[in-house]
Amino acid sequence: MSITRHRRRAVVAIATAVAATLVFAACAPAVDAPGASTPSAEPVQGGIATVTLNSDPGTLDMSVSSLQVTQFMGVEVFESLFALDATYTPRPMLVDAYDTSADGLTYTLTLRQGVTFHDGTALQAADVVASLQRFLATNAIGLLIAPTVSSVSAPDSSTVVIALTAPRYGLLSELASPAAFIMPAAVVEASGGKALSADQLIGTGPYELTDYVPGQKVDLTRFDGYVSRAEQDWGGYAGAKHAYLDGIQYRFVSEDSTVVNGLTTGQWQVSMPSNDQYAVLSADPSLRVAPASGGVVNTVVLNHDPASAFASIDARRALNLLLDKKALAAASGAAGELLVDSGAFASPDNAPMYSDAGEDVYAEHDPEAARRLFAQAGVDTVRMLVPNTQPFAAWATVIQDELSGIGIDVQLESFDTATVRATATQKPGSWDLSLTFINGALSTPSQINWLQSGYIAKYRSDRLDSLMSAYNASADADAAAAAVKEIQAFVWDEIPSIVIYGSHQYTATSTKLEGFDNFALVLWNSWLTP
Amino acid sequence: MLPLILRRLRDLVIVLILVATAIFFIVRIIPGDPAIAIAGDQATQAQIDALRQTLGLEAPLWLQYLQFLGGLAIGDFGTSTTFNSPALPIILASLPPTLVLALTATVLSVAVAVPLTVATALHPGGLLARVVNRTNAVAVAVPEFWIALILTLFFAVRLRLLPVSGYADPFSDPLGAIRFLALPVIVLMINQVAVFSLNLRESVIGEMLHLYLRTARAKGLRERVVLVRHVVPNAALPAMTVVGLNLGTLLGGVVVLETIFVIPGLGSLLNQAVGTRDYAIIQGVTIIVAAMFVLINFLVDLAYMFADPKVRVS
Repeated sequence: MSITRHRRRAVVAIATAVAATLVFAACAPAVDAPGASTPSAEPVQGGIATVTLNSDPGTLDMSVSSLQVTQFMGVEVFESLFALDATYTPRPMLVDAYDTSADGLTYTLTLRQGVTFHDGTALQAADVVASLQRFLATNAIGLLIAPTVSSVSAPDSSTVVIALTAPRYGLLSELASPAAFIMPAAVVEASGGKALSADQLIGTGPYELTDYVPGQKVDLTRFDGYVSRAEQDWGGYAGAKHAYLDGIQYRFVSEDSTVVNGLTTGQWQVSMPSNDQYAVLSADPSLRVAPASGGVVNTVVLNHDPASAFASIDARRALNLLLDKKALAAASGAAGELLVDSGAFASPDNAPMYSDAGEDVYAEHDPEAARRLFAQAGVDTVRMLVPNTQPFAAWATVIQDELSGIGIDVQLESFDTATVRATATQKPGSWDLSLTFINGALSTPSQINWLQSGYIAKYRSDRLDSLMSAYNASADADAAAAAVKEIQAFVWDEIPSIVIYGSHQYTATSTKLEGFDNFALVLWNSWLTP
Repeated sequence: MLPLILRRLRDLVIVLILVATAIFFIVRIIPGDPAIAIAGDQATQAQIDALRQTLGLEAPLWLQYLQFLGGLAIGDFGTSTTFNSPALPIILASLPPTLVLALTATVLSVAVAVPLTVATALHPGGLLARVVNRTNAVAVAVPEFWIALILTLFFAVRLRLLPVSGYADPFSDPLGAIRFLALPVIVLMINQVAVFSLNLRESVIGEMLHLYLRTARAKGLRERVVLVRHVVPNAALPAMTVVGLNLGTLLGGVVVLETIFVIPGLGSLLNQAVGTRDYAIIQGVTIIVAAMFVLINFLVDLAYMFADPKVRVS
């Protein structure tokens, strides 16, 4: 076959593809202005809501898996002793009443009566003791608390006593973590430290597991034996839970276009699509699009290994001066209303953990001063080890460009998340800078992984330790807020890592779904209109 | 026949041991392990270390390898670290969607490609032949994901004739299965019909040059009969190899299409397992796909024997 014929075929192929795209694009649904929804006044019992998640975590065990998708499903099935309300304040959930000793070292918790697990057995103090011991041994937050816990005991079937070696102001918030969920003691024993298997997912929540097909679906149905709390106005994970929906179906859909098409055609009612789809979905009158609560805090992680360029505080300050945070936020492709121009380590709607201390340092941007400081620190090369997914890849490109712009040689390595984590751990001196985000809805400052000495960044500071101790010793909310402010100021003074901006994910929900308040993907108290 | 089957069985065992060994070490060369994947990127190192201990990832590599081979010998593919349950049932549950999709697309593609090619061979300069030849070039060139997105936009989103995605078991819900499979099967067929048709056409053209056809025509056979009775059966032999290889590839999992159409097949499972470093699933899927590939090659060889007396004699 001649080259000319090849070329002619290629031209025909391209022309046909372009023509078909134009024809089918013309067939796409018209984009109209968003219509005002009319919320139905009275909740309606019944119906099944279908939710898409971008991957199957393989378990609903929130103690072992810290993935967001695990928590989205897990909170419908499991409950903790306490739960965070819409303002991220801990409220009793499985606990009826509690008492703290004057020295802050002993917590006596009385459990609610009449609570049963999905297998029909009644909640007992022994279940709580077993669950908490597993939480303390396996979960990231649990492992933080464990050194200060001297014992967890059950003097009777409805009382649990937690004894501490030192006061811990954030304990109730930490116990309100969904990861500190309560399960039957027999399940704890059977699971060992491994993630719970499908037949072990027995909680006290408003929905129970009925089907789990790995990689395909998770189906939950209303738990008829659920006994709700009475408080109607706490919101978040706390207070009254009404399971209006007969069931919730989770479908694992990783392809963005499939998520969008399914939302548009009503195949599912709740999704968290990517930033790229925000404008299109916002314009669809059959959907409601809104930022999700909490959000994430996007961070440039700096390595403190002696071999790292950023072991030097001058280099850390130089990088902060160099980074154009607005450019980094823009590179993510997120709409303006999803961005938070703040250097705080918590989301602004997370009042107990948010402080604006150090915002002036966050706002600094002076590449020339950065160049001088890098030279002063003797840094002429920066080794970046970053995940190859978005938005990390986009941030990496911006950072690489900015470093190159002031004459710094950049060595960029980009891998999947597991490889980045393993490389950073196994070769601690081989990298200077990485990228991550943390949960903006954290409930204590100690949960910020890049401030922990065991994290890949290996940051350690006596001053930070004493500030954390001061937070734990807080007697009340005001003292805790003051301690948070001091920690936030310290973070912008020492720059252990650099918060580049905050952002929110967003939910796209069918207008037929009412009562949904965009707190995570909580679906109790939501209902479907006919 | 029996010696051939025994030889193939021996080959199957050798291939599976080689594949199992290769995949065992390849997945462990990749940095990152299941503990990191399960715990998530927010996990602390202490949590990851605790999980590694629980999952038995601290055992020496040689011991893990021997345990793996020992397990295989008794049909134990290990435990999925993601799902904390035996890997084999999970893999077998993902097999039917892939089998149904691959077999349906292949059978229908052959059913369309053979008569189409015969018709175009009868009238090489005709309108049908010109249209098919040009369409084939386009169909082979255009990527499947693009066709999938365009067809979904038109038939599912705009016309609402078919669902956007999903899968139904064809035995318990045949109508639902047809609705869910229609788009992915059509997408696969567009490419496969073109590939089969191009290959068969090349074979037919080559076969038409042979002298034995002069005898057939001298007997007074009509051209259509010469083509169907003599040319196509001989020309089909090389095409059968292409069909077999294509089917093997499809059974290995159509990752992109399974992802776009949310079909819970082997491709989706393997894709996820690589991300979560689920060694047992990765190894199991690879071994089963390799076994199927060997089996399909064997069936193609058998088909050769039945179709061609020369092969039978040799």
